[in-house]
Amino acid sequence: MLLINRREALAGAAGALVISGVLGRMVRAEEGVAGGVPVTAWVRVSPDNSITLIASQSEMGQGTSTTLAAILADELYLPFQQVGIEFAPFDPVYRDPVYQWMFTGNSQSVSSFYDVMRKMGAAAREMLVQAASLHLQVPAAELTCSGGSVRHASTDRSVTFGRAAAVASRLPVPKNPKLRTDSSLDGNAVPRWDIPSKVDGTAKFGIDVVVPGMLVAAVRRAPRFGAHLAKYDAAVLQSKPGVVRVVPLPDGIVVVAGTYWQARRALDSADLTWSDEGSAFSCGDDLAPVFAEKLASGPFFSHLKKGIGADPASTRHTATYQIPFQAHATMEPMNCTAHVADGRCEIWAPTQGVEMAQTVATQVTGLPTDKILIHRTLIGGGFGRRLLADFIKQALVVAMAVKVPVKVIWSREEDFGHDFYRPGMLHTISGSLGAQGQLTELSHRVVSPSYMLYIFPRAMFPNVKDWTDPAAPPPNIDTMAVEGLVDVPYDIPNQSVEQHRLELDVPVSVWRTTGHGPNNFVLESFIDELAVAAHADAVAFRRSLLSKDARALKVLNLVADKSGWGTPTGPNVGRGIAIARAFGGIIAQVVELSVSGSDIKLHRVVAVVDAGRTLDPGIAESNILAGIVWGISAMKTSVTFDNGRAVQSNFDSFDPAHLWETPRCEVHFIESGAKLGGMGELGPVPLHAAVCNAIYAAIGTRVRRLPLSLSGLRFV
Amino acid sequence: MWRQASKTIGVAILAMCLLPLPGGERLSAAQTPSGGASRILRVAQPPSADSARLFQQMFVVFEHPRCMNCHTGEAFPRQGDDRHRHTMNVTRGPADSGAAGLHCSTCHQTMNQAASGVPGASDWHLAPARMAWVGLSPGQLCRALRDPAKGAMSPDQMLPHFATGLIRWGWDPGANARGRARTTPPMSYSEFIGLTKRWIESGATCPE
Amino acid sequence: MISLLVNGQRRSVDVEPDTPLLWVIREQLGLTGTKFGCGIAMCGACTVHVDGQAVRSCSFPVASAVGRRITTIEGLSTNRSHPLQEAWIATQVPQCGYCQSGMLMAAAALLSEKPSPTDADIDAAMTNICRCGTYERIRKAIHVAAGK
Repeated sequence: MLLINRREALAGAAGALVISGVLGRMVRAEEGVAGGVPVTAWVRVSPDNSITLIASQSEMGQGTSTTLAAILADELYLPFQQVGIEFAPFDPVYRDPVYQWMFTGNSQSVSSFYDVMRKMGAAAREMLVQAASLHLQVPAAELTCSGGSVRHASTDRSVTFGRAAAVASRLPVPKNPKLRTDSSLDGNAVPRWDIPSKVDGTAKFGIDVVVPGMLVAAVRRAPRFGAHLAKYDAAVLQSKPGVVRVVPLPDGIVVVAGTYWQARRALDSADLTWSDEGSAFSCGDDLAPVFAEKLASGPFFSHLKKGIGADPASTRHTATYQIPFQAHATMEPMNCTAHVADGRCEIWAPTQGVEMAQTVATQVTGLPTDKILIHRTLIGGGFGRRLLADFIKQALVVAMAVKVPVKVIWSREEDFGHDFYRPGMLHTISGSLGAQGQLTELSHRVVSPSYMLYIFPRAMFPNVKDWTDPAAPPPNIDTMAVEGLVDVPYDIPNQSVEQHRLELDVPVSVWRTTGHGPNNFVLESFIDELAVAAHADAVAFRRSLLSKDARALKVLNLVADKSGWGTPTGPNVGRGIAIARAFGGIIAQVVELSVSGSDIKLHRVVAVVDAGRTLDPGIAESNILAGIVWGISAMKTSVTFDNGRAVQSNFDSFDPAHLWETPRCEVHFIESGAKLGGMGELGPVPLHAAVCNAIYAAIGTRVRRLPLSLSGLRFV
Repeated sequence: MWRQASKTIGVAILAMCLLPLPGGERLSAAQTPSGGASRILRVAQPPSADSARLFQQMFVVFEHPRCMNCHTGEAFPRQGDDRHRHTMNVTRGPADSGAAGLHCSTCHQTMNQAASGVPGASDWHLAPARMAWVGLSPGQLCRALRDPAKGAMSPDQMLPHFATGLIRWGWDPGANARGRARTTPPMSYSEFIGLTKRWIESGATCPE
Repeated sequence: MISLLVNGQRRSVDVEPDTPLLWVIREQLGLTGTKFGCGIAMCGACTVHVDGQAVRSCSFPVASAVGRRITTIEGLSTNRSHPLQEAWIATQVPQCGYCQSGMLMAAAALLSEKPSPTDADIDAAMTNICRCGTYERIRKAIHVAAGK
């Protein structure tokens, strides 16, 4: 059904395919019109031998559209430079095999699809070889592939993939194709296909989409969650230069014009009155009082209970840590282009969640799924924000009102004001030290709003109908809020993890690292506090707890070695260490910094990663380096709320990390051969604790709250 | 002779600035000093004004953030009424107009920009570091204004300087991105110019 | 009608004179390489060159561009041949890439004034925000380009 659907789309919407075509390096407009032959859902070949590999996973800078396609290409014996990449629309064949849902996130694209790519690449190869064997009238076993052709060496004849494709596509897809045994792909850095277009301005993000006849819209919604637009002068707005249409929303207004600036100008000058109702949530530096109330009263859901609890003979230490709300603040503001007309719906969006978007589109338009086509653009930063479909629903509502293509662009202020924020968390952690300073007990009580509610309703609540609103969830459960706590690498006989899921009326959701980042800050800072209490070196203390986790021990030892742990440092210089098991891998970091008054200068970060195998060291390193910077940003920024509205509205009040604050970083990879882990969100996880432990080492100040400004500290 | 006298008067005014001035004494303008700091010459005061007091009144303009934020001795400008360090690691640069690749004009244009909230005036730049005013008392600031080593201008040069777009911007600083108007000095521009004129005419005396 | 010289080409646009140059470039001229990131000159994604100097085009009215030479990322070179673009590719700098047009224009402005910048020069010039965090490779690529 997909193939028929796409050929319809290809033939009937050639203009649209030009838009998605320029995303892939070599997909050309005329190919879109001609169609090319889908050998399988993953490989399309044109008569002129242009080969397009279909990407199931969105590209938001994490490089998966290169890594996964490189695996496909490798099985086809194709040099990566020879292929074009195209992003698949929604189809069940592209679903993540683990979650049975088509999405990009949770750092699992490569681990989920590695086997699929090898198998589908090998399958396409065998089909093309089989087709060539029929054409050349020789046994398939005598044929080899190279550079986009199938060759018969002994008679020096060959058939291009392009010529073989039509026949190949009619052959059954082999269930167990033979994978290459002579691949040289592993461990080689593949130049990313999207990078050249990202240095010359030709890369097209959602905000760059241009469709014939398109209008552009600016949107403003009530700053206070739960309020709506009480009063506005439609006639005045309509009369502004360039304004074509004014579309009211339940909680705001959209101005549609010929250009964004016309729409924005009209909106900025509009006199809008908001209703005096909605969320009363206020949350400043100290988090809202409800966090502490629930921490004291519960109820709690127990995610882990191991052993019999604290030993009265031990010395028990307790500390409470605080993590703020955060904004995604993707560099590309939220946007979506949609066209709903004549019983069809076409969407162009920088989306991580194309299945979520497809489902929402069927709900909003009432159209059947085979009449809805979503084109995925490059994404200017995802971080979890683009998994949600709220911005897509909004564009559909506008598109249905204007009946021509319309691109809705959010201002940066709208983006900050209507994010799905990373939850703030209050976390009490306790540990018991025995007489010899051994850690016998570790317990957590976490108060956190849900991470998962809006993102994975299917996983949590199979009966959810409308995926932009949460259904009534089972009480207290959110496994993401306790990530990194229930499976620590340490051998501790007594462990408890309890969580109270806070119900809030401001939207919250996943954010790069989800629960791992905040929880590792708490865990690894507190491990250091215990090490201090036990008069032990931070590395030695951890080493003594890693006897059952050889992989983690190896990572710890390597980072200690590479960072020169234990060697003398200069005055006011501190080193801090942290280790984490996250996203299927293990990462440890040592941070070296100096403190002068309230100024922290980061000198150096040494990271060691064991994610099983490093498929592409270049892409893996870039993800870890970028993750370190994400972690630094998250120690500087926060989102606070005042009577149901986010206080931060642009980069003048939300100041992320900059180049001059970034220390020298080095990343080392261990090839343990274990199951593939994820890289996209791994880098930031241990960074907070490593920095805070280094601060303690330098000046004896223990930071238990973020952002750093709450302790009177800042990066310089 | 007039030239010599005016030069000498200039030296004397300088000398006056270095020493405490009891008020109200009058001397004949025809007397010619032999120069040197130990000699005090006072110019005849207008009957009802105290020149130094006029400068005291002008001082509230100089110390206002719209002026003080750029009259710093630091390697960076300041911004806002709370005078925080300018965001984005903006630095003074070798010619007081920003670092290589990030001149002031990268963001600051010749007029305030309503849409972005970025303030602007022609030739937006920092005052040279030797013209730093931060932490100076009215007397110190006055003497700094008059000090050749700090790029002093003569009183007659001040009025044209105060008429430049960048200085006048202090009274028309625009609004920030939130639409919040920036504060202006606690007297109008015309009041400030009027005061300056009277101060000059009264001998441009510096307070203690 | 407002007459502009953009990437060496004369273009005429019919817009209000206080329209930010950013939106004229993106919409009337169809050059989408220059990006909208914040609208208040805080992020640098909109950086272009005006007479060879870096300017944040979200905060620059189109009327001020008259009679001046505007260069966007599309006009930085032909075929990605600017040493910075070559270095950006060799060093594999971009992640999501959205900030990189502005980064490259800022870096080009730096190199045109300081062909061999120190790390301190790079710190002072490169204030653009990269939310993905590619700063380490940006610094490296600038040194690579300067070394040519």
